Amino acid sequence: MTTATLGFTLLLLTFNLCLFAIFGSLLGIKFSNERLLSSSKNASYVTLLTTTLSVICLVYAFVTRDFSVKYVFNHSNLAMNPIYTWVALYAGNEGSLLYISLIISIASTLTIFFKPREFDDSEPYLISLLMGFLLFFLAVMIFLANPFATFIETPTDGRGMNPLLAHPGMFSHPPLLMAGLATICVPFSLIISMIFSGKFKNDGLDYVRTTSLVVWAILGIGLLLGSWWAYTILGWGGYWVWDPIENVGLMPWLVMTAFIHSIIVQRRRGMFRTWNIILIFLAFILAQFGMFINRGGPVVSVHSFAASTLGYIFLGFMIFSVIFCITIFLFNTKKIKSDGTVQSFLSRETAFLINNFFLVAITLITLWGLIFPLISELFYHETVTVGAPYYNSVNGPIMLALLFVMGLGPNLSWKYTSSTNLKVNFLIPLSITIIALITLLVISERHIMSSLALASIVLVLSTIITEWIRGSSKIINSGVPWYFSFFKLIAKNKKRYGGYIVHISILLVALGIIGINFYQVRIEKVVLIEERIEIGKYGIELLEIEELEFNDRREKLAKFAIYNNDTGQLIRHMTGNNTFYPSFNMASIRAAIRSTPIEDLYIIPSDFIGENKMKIIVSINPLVWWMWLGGPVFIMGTLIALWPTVQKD
Amino acid sequence: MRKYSKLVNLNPLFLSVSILIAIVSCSTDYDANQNREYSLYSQLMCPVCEGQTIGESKASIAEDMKEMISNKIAEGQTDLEILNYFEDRYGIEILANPPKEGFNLIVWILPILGIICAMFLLVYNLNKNMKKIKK
Repeated sequence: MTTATLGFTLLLLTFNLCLFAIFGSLLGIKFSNERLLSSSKNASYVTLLTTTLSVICLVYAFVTRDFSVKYVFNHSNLAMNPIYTWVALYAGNEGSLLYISLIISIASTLTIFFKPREFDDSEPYLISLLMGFLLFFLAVMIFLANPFATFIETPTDGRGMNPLLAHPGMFSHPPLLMAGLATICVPFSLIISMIFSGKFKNDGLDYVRTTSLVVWAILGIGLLLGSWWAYTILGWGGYWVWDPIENVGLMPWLVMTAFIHSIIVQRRRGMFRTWNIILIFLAFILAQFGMFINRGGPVVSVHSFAASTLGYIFLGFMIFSVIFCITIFLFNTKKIKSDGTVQSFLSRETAFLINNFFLVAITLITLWGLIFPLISELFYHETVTVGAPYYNSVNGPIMLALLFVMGLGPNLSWKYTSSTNLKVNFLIPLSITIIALITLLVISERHIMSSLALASIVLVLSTIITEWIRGSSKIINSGVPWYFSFFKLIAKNKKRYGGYIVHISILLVALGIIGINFYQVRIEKVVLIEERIEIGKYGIELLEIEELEFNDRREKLAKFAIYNNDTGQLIRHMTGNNTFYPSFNMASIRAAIRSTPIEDLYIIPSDFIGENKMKIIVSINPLVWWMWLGGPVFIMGTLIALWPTVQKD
Repeated sequence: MRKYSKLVNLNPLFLSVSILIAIVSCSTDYDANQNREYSLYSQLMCPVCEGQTIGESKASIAEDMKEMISNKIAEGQTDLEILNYFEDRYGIEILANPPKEGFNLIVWILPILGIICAMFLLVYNLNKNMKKIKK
């Protein structure tokens, strides 16, 4: 038996295991058959084993260069470095489906295994929902996109991997993003199973929160890595261009952000129940929408990795999800009613509500911009483009408002905030912010928007810091040494302070966005060798152009010397790289970047004209460095927020 | 407590956020420090690439268009004239943003209208609920 047959057989086996787990669980509840229930649970665990084995089969085919397997033929060749096997595994449609199946079975096994006691009654529903989701991907692979399809005659060499994927960012960005989108099914299934078992109360919400946080963090890091990749491998213009494929990843993340905030309100005050359900349904549907657009949806995008005719299967699944969600919603309105309501505008509940409002607003506006070209085509027979300037000017102000709420919200009290509380919490931060705003307005005359944005950052930061100081000094007063007090404070309420650290990481990302959107300086110029151009405080001289020929590519290197204009001193040498892959008819451009906390000097070797002439695009991107620092801080904050608190019995 | 509830009715949080948005929407200094040329680059799509503006594109037609923009700016044409010129030649899809007129006005207006309506609904409902609690 060949590896390909083995792999496919394992897929069929997984398919049957899923079916058994689904029907076993449902019948088990109906006839209260304990043995059937536990047997279905075990079947769901076994899917992890079988999917892992079939992934191993595909990896083995890659490693042994088994070009009789079509997928291996399409996504690798003899020249490919074996470390890219991991990337090739999910580079195409069939492989990515297999990868997603693996992720779902890992996620479902972990979810079922670690579920707390509160979920005992809803477990069978949980299993059938998760397995149902897995079943869909298996069905698509088995009937439409088999990763183990083979040729009758084995070709001697493969076609090779898409060269744009040969970048460190590709080791993590696509798999994280796919994993994030696929695992939204976990909090979704948890919530629905709670509704089905009639126990959608406050117990068990901690578990929903934990799983949502994990999913949300994976998705967030995936998005940020994608930005970083776009920034360093250019060709796509900067870190974020509001491309449809970027948007469909962003939208579920935004809704999940709203969800992990509003679930706190439900846990603390029993409110927002209906709203939370709507949010998680929306996130799930948007994730399906993302997969649909990614796999050959009807919109124009610069990403075209996994484009195929499979899109409409995913559209079908999305429509099915929508109908499923609406049905559940309509038949359970009584079960999901909230206990209380908002009592005052000046309360943390309201702040969460406004936060949710803005996040959902950004999501819907992004969705609207994304589908508007289709609407226009359909009703008006006119092809239009909705591009980055639209999103920037419509979403930008809302993001700013969101930043502002982020400064106020965490310091408001539950139910209502007393005026003394207001004074204590906001007097210092607000004064600092106002002083900062005035200073900023005076310094940068024209930039009202950027000054407001920077002032909002100051507000958030100063509220967080004043609270840290207040909390730490209390601990110091109780006799703890000062250097230890800060950590003790974090350890005392990990959820809250982890959350603050995540807020700081968002500030860092915002800082980068503000820097590049408002203060970027840019020139485009054709330069000769030894010609020197000036931008800001830098003098840039083109030293030489080098051309290298390889088997699979032509590399052109442009070497630059960077001088400090004021002192005339050489700062450093930099090299930009423009590589052309003839067999893919594709160019990959690597910008020369000198990154400092103050600003990045960013040189794109845009076009080589003859032997001693080239076109370069030079820009100074202030504060972008902080955006990438936001990534590690984000991970740290999430980990702190997730770290389990030891229960004292 | 009485005195305080008046303060609450002012909805300071809502007020401050709305003021912030109002100020921001009035300010039109987006991209103000950018050279006119580069801001035009981001408003025109490259006709042969998928989903790229001419600022991002490396295609030769994008380079030609950039040169034409430079010439037209030198001739003293306004941004609108330049954009109209390209729209006449390549059709409306060359614009990175739908023009704010005719059917395409919807894409701009609907989000703003939606937000205002939703905000009203939200505040109205919250007020109603809060009155219920007081009774």
